[in-house]
Amino acid sequence: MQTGGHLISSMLDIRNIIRDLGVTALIAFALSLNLGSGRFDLSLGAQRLVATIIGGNIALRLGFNGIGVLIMAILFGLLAGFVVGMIFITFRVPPVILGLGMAMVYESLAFAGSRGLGLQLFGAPNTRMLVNPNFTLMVLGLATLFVFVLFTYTKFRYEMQAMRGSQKIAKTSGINVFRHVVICYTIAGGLVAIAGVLSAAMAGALLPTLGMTSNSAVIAMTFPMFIGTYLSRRSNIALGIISASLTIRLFGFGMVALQISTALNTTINMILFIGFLAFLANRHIPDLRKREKARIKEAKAKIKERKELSLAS
Amino acid sequence: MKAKLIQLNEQQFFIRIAPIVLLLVMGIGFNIATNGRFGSARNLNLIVTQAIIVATVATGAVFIFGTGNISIALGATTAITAAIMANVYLMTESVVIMIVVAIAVAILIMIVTAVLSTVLKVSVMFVSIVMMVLFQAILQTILGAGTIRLPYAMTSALTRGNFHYWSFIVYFILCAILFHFTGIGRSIKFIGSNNFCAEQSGIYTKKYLMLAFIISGVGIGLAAIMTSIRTGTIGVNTASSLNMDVVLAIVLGGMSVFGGTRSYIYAGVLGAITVTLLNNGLLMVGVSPTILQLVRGIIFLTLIFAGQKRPDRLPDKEI
Repeated sequence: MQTGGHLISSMLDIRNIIRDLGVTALIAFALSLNLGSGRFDLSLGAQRLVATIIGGNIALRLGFNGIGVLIMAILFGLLAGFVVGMIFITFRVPPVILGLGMAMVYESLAFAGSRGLGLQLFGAPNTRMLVNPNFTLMVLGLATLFVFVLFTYTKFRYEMQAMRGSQKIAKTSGINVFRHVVICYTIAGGLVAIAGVLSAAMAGALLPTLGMTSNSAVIAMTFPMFIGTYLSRRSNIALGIISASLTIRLFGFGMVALQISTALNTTINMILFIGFLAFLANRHIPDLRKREKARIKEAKAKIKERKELSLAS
Repeated sequence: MKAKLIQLNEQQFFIRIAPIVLLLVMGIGFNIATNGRFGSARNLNLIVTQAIIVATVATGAVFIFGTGNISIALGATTAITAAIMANVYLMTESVVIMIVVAIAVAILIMIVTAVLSTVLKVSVMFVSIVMMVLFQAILQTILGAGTIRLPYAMTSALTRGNFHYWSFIVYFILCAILFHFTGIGRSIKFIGSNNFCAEQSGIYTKKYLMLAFIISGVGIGLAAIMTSIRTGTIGVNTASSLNMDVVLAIVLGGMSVFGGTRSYIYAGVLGAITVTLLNNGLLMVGVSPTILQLVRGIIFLTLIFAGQKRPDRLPDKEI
């Protein structure tokens, strides 16, 4: 209405939405593995860089095609995540602090490992399939299916729910919490690596960054992740995150159509995010007040009843 | 052997002396590696000037970290405060108003962060992450690719008057008194050691968290002024590395990231000098900025692993 036309008016718009949705949903999936249990991994952005850049460049040097680049990046992502997970269970420092340290290390490795060039997919032979929206949809579909099965039909789901409740009780119940945490970190690493390859394909290259700037790409995805987790109460985490990611992407698309700058869009998103976090933290209060009112009403009725009884006697 | 090392690591004397030894070893090492250039009066003066901004923010941050909370928005808060303060100066041309506005804005921002955590019950760590991105985006929206320039006459007058030294000294003394000689510091350390026990003992944790943020806000306000008068311009990259330097300084200064009894006000200052010395020394030795970050990351993680008491179970419930 505001723009006086359709938000999506061409095939190019659909392609852009699919690509953005893929990157957003994959990072949100990765975040949900650890964030759901209260662990915020600030090194996820750097893991995305190191896996995509190092893994992708090795694949290109070996003459692999697009799928080879993707598989190699996933392997490096799994390795990067596994290393962070192992260090976390070994030294047990707060995840944010560990994330800061690991981000510094991984950002440097991605930068130094590619001599600052990153992963250049523009013009690389046999990698055109990576920019195909059908391929993006297929990868996103497979990742969603994987997350859906993982969070619905596996033992991992029970372990995760137990860990979200109480680590102590989960451990006492016989769950190997250390193994579970390493698995979470490892899978998250693999998922962000896929997101990294899709981003590189979309832009033609993925450039390394220094100074902890890799975090911003991941932090921006925490909003859809939280909305997705909230929506998952009525469905499934995979479907919740996909729905939330699509909503956020369409919102972003609308902002672009209204000619609102990226920085202002981020500002609006973060303000909404803070509001949503406050809502999540306090959503039980109206219910509590309602119950409290009912309890007071019940108590007052009982007092009145007793008074009437005593007057009658 | 391992048990002896753990025992040594837990001794107060070792905890206090280790960061000083580390600082001295680094200083001597860099001096030898650069054939004495590192130890020149000019370079040491440069290190102190650079370290003082990190030290001011880190001194205030000790109060927040002491409660067992982690804030990673201190650099972004400094940058946005500097931008607002500079605009106010350009409008009023009054240094006094500029200083008052800088401190007031920083305190206000920190109060908002604390209110979100205490009243709206969103975790400090998560509020700080969102705030960091939010402030960077606001700064980008306000400034874009441009910068705010402060008049040279004003910045040089404040520099010649040693504003940064005097403000840091006064702030540090006040913080040291509050943290080590009053109930505020004791309560903050108690909350950091065991939040539940502190609440059960009658300590109003929300009040002390709010106080920690306000005290830290004063430091951020001062650091914003120092940053502005040092560079003379404020852009989107202002104080971009400050946040990481502050966290690094606190760890290098020998303070526990879990807060509590192993929190010392001098940790921020000692750590700030060590961080600046490390950056300066490695660059003088010829290490590239890429490798510099790698070295900083490895030292940061090594010191955290070596200096922190390993809990029996995994740290969780940060959100």
